[in-house]
Amino acid sequence: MSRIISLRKAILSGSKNASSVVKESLEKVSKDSNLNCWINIYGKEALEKASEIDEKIKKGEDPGRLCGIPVAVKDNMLVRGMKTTNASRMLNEYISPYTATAVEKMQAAGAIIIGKTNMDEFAMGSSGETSAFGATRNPIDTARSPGGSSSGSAACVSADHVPAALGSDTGGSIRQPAAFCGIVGMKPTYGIVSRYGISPFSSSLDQVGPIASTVLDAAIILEIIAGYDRRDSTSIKKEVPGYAETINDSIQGVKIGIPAEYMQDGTDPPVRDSVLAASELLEKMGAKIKEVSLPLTKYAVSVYYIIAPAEASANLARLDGIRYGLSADSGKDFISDVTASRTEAFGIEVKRRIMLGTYVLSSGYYEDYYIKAQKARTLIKNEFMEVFKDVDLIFAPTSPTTAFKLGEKTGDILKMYLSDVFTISANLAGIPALNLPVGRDSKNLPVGAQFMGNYLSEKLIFRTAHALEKELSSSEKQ
Amino acid sequence: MDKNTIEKIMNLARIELADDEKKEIPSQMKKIIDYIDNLNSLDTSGAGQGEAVFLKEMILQPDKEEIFPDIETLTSNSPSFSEGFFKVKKVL
Repeated sequence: MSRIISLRKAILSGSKNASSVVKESLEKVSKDSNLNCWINIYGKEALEKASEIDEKIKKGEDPGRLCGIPVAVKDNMLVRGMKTTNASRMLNEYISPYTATAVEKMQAAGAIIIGKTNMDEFAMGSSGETSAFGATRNPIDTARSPGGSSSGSAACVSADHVPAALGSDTGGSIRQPAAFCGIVGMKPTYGIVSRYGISPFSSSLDQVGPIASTVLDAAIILEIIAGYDRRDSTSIKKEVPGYAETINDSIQGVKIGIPAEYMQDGTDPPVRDSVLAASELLEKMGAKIKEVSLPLTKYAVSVYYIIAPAEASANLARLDGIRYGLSADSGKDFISDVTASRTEAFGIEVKRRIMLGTYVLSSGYYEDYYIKAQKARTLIKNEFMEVFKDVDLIFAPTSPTTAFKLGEKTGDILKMYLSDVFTISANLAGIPALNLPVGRDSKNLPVGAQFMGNYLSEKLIFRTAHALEKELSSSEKQ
Repeated sequence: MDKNTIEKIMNLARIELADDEKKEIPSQMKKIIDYIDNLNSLDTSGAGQGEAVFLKEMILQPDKEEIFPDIETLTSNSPSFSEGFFKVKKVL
């Protein structure tokens, strides 16, 4: 049930070595170049690190919990000496001067970074198609989107280039691509993973998390990357519990709510059917299932598309082509140079969101939009807190559809935004949520369902998702 | 979303739109704004002032100088760093 544990065992026992594992991973990456899931590959550096790990093992030194495990990092996370492009022309040549805390922790545990993965430009997108480096393709059906914005991190795990990757989730950017690619993706409680070294998109929503092929692997990665970091002022000062150690415990008596609003006409029937079938399995394992209601879900997209662009317009104001980034010469004055640089460097989705954010924050509209959305956000959070008085977890579809075709939604931006309807609320409330593949539709495309829990309930989420994963895999075998 | 509003936002955002974007973006923004106006039907009177929703406290750092470990890479990303300064055109 764990790719990471079995690879680590093989490396430590000598049946494989880190160098051969990394080499194998690089071969898969180069064979699958049509998927376009990587922006920059660091093969030479990865092989050097692998031989350092092999040396450590030979000398009997502790090589770390992720020794020799090849991993991928979304290209909005800094890794010192590597490029961090954010899939934008703006940062095409940007070299990271330091390493993000989450990545540093992975490296300290012995993980080997193969490269940086493709994504929607500055994480703004739900399909991977806004990348300046071209769309990522879904390994399950290459005519389809792998989801977004962590498109490359999900696609490369699904294609088995690496057993795990780091993604970031602002409105579903880990969970929705994990759902489309048939793998596990976890957005933790806001504040448990440091955002230091992550390019900020919407700072009150952004959260880093693991993408992996199994629940146990996601739990292992989260255990490694979580923890207080004084360099992130929103970091929570709490000890990280052992998510993996209790993952096999029983889920007898766990109360799980299915929100009616996620199971209505807007959700494709095969998605609903798979989620219902999975909930029956949970019940069979001793969980108590009941229907709950989250009526404010219908406002989530509106709240998100005010708050996220507002914060993005402020965060991306630093990209002026002076201290870093693409610099254009307008032939005129200083301000015209800044405008020319931004105009040339940003793609249309980034421009649209910066302009939307600027609009909702501008004089005369701030109260009506931004403040109203912040108040609505409080109500959405309160609604979750009420439901969590009654149930321990919420179980619901991650996305109303399975993976859509590339190009299918690019012409209708509102339709694209509405595809995030089920993932956004967890970000607005700051609560943890994990995507688990729970079935396939008639086209054999994976259906993802998410467990959402109260603040810091990751342990319970991992345990319940792991139990369901095991049950699903054994019923598949029968 | 009239032409003046778009011009004003473009100026505030320091973004110019190409001719095709000028046709596309305003109508898309209008569509999005029409949609998010559904919030008007939500009574938010019991929601406080819209302060940070889940952060109990913001942890502030002492205002202490720290030496950044890799100033060379940091400044090498600038197209116009020289002699310890970022060079820009005359502002005034």
